[in-house]
Amino acid sequence: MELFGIFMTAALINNFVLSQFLGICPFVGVSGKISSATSMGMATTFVMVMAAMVTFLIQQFILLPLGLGFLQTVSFILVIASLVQFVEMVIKKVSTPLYRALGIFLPLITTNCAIMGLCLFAAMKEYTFIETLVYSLGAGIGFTLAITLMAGIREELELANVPRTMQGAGITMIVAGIMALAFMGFAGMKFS
Amino acid sequence: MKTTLQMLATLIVVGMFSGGALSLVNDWASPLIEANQAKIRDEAIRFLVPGETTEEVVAQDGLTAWKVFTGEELQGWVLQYSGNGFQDKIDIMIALDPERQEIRGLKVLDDSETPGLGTWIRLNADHEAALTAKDDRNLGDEVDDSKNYPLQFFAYGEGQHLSAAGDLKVVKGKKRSQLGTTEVQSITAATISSVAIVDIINGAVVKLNELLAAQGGVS
Amino acid sequence: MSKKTSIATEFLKGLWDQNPVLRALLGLCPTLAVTTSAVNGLGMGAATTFVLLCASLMISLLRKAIPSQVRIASFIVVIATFVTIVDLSMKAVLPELSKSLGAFIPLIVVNCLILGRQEAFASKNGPFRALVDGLGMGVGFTLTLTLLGAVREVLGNGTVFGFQVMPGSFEPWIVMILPAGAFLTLGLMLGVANSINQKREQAALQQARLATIATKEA
Repeated sequence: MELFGIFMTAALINNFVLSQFLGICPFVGVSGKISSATSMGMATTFVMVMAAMVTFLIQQFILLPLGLGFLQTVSFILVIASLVQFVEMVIKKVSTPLYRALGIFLPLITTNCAIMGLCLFAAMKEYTFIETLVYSLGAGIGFTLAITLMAGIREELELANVPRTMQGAGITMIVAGIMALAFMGFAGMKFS
Repeated sequence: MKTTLQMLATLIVVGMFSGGALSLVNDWASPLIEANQAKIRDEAIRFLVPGETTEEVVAQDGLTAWKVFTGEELQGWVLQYSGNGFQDKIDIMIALDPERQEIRGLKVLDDSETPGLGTWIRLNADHEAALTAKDDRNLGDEVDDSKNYPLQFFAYGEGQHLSAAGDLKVVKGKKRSQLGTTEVQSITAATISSVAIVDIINGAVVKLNELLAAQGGVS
Repeated sequence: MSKKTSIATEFLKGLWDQNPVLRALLGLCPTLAVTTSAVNGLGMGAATTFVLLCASLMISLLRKAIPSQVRIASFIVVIATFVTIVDLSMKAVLPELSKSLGAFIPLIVVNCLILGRQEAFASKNGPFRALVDGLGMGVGFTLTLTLLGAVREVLGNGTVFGFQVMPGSFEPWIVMILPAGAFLTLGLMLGVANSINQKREQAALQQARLATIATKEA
């Protein structure tokens, strides 16, 4: 099934973090604990899906018909920034414990290149609405998977003897490299 | 009240600056960008089938096909098509003989295949690079420098070319001299890229035949 | 009135002490993605520096006119505009480089380095200092990316800037051009940068101690 293929490709084969290099900043910054990693992952997935849908509508109904393709970058980033503000307000009103769990991460999501990258790629690949939806879900889940796996490894690393100069970002990068090698194993999976 | 007005005014001014500047730059850049793309396309066509004029015959369902003429004489066909490769889409052009029976050339326009492995599908006329390359995968028999398709596409025998009937298959472990006109040697450690490009070539010729038949039997 | 740091200091801080990639860990996405060759690293660094300079200049000139509540939105629009200008210009004039850098040119808009400098510096300083700050950060970013690109290119392809540097018998380490190689190289570079920094800090501490001893004895 085509849609399943799109989902699996976004989540595993072309994993946004380990293969497309998107979302590295939160990947490095928020992967210290499994709980915060999963929360960040889910918040990001949520924003990704919404942003993908809204930017799809803008691309299809405003930018393309009016020949305003060159306004894509400006309009997309404004949509994402506003969406994040809006989501933050809504979560604050609707569920305070959820807000407290996700709250600090939400403003960071605006500059997460994974969201902007997702919107740009979906537009470039000319996906339909459903395909965009599935693609963004796959991307978000893949991101969450990568960041949670990294958090799991880093929690274990706390107990290991990492050389002082490599602590923090250094060892995280090395681990990411090994994870990227592992994920290469997904390449070439066929879903048809 | 004043601050809300100020905020609004600032946003409007910034917005207008943005829109205005971008419109100007876009007006300047668009024709240049289109010219670049046309140039790449024309150069590729010229590389595959040398000739004087091109006539676009089909542009549908992702396939674009041109006839290349020198004067009144048909020199060959060029097809542009794309499909999924190992990482992302592979965009190719192939050359057919005037009767559309044989594949005479291949040019890979865009791919995201693994560098050094899958990118061997790109070997076109660059025989020098292939011969001096570190890797002698699929080499072994004499190379004919007058041909312009990638090494693994050398069908064997004088004047033999690959079939353009959409029936190419990927094989492994054969010496070039043993390859038939429907067989393409897989690139060692890049099976997926090899299979992908053969599928795209088959897809292109099949689609061309379909669309031409629908148009009303152009030969 | 606090003492103003010299222009030289403002420029130099971006090169090492506050190097955007190696110290502040900003702009990691393009750093990893496009550094498959030295020229790509240089191109991305130059494009980012251009956007940073233009945005810093503009924001600095307008800093008194932008109300605080809409400053982030204004920054974003200004940055996005210059990013689009760079994107269109590159497609028109440098199509090969534009294709190699791909979607990462538009993604300059979410490079936290640029927004960060606007918020931390350009919106609070005059245009000249803002430009110097932007230039320092930009150059530091560009040098880091070019170095990373060069390392990956030499080991993964045997060339640097397209020129063959490794002997003919060298079997390229393909992994260096792949994502895994990017992560590993950056990780090692971070380790090296940290170790250099720690040595400098220790040396500075030593100096300070010797100085206090000297003044005590004096």
